[in-house]
Amino acid sequence: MNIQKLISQVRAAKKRRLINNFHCSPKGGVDVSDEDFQSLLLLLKDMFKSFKAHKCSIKVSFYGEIYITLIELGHSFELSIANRPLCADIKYADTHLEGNQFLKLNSSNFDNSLTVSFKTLRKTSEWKHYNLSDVELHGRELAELITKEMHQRAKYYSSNDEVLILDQTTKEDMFAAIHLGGAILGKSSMLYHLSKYIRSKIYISKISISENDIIMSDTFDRECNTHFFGDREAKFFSQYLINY
Amino acid sequence: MMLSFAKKLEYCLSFIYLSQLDKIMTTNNIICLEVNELYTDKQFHQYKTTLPSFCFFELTQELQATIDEAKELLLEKGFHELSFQLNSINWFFKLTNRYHHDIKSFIHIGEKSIHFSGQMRPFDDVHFCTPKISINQAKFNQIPIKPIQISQLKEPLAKGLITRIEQLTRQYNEAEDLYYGIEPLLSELQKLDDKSAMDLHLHLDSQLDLLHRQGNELLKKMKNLEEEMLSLSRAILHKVFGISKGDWISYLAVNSTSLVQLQYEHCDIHERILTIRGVGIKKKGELGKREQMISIELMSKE
Repeated sequence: MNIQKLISQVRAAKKRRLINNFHCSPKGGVDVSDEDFQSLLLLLKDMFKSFKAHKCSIKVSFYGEIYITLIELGHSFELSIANRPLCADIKYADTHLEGNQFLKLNSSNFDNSLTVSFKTLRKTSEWKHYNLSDVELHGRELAELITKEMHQRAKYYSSNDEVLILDQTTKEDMFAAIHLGGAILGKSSMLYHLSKYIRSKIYISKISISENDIIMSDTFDRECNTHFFGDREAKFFSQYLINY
Repeated sequence: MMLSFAKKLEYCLSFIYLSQLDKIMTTNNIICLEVNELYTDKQFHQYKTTLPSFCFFELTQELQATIDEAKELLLEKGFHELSFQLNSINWFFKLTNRYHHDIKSFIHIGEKSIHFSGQMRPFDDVHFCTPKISINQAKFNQIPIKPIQISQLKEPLAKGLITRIEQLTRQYNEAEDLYYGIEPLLSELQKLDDKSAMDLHLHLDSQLDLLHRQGNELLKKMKNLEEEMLSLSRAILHKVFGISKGDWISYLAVNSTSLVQLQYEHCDIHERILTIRGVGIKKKGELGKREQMISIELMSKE
């Protein structure tokens, strides 16, 4: 497990994460501004070193999701770093903004602060957030804190985690790629029109993208459509879809 | 007499108090706005994942200064709205529970309101925006009432503007006299033409046409003069009294005991009388329903 290689994987995935704007389920990983990205990689490097020292294995997916596994206990968790407001503020805004066009917040510490979050790979598990300006910890210390927390949680787990499958293209990834392709390549691309078509459908049961066509079928496989695409689309898919 | 003195005292106090008011009233300057989709019938429709849930911005002193500068420019150049890129806006997405960075944000500043719009990568156009919010409502928890002090009209800047308005009023009156002088002539010529169409050949059509054209030119000139006078009146309100559209103002006329308080919505000028109109402010400090007006006579000489 080469730390520098993992950092390079995070860096390489940054461009691909544009696809997440069209993904219907949120993805973990690093989502910070370009200005913060370099300094954040240093923090991440420190954290990875600490995780490695605490006998954890680290994996980075094609889309830059970071998974840490406690080797001895066999439990994994997902790591995310982004700018988040305080949950309490969002809850307040959500309840009080209804019916009003704007809201003044009393919070004095409402800012765009960097937050490191982790979540176990279990159903109904929730993210735990560490606001970096509040905890005032460096990468190593923060990683130690997270590992400790994970060990404590793992004590109470009686069942196995969800299986961690990395780098497998899901149905949602394919839909997101079609929508992103439509937005990037524009009206001249079949992806633009296909994206519109998909949005008009309530449910699509199966989808597969092969070398030069997309095959989709609706509920109960009553209707099966094949959509052919050209080189431009193929080049796009090779950038944004794994194993394409 | 006592009532009149009390009113005047209250009026003067409100003027002194105003400078301290900004500090007291701008305590909560983090503002959260809802976000609406633009062009819902176009290509972006139903990309729900690309629509932020909330927009957050901090109304800093720096941003307030920028808004004030933009308002000056609006008045000076007669623009309707100013828009430019602003990076300090945070767009929050409920789906991902975080702020997204790949959004280009724009602020739109009008005479009395602001709003924000955004363009998310990879789209080329702005595709969502916030509702408009009143600048005063954003700035203050309780909007201050700015008193109009008629003595400020004696300042050199005010005198210069008033002199120009007087010149324009004279030009306007001359143009108006000419225009209304042409009108009876036109109708008389029209009658003569109708009566003598078979007997006299006076080429009245070409004369009538010429008069019509000159009448139209005069109307156009009067309209331009009116617009110039209106923009000078707005300049008096803004530069001399420091008030702009949406501001809450009060005015106690000379030899009067009734204080008029209203929200400045629009103004007009006629024969050196500047009239400010807007919805009245109740004693409770809320906006009422009835329209009120304030009339101020602009005279360059005492």
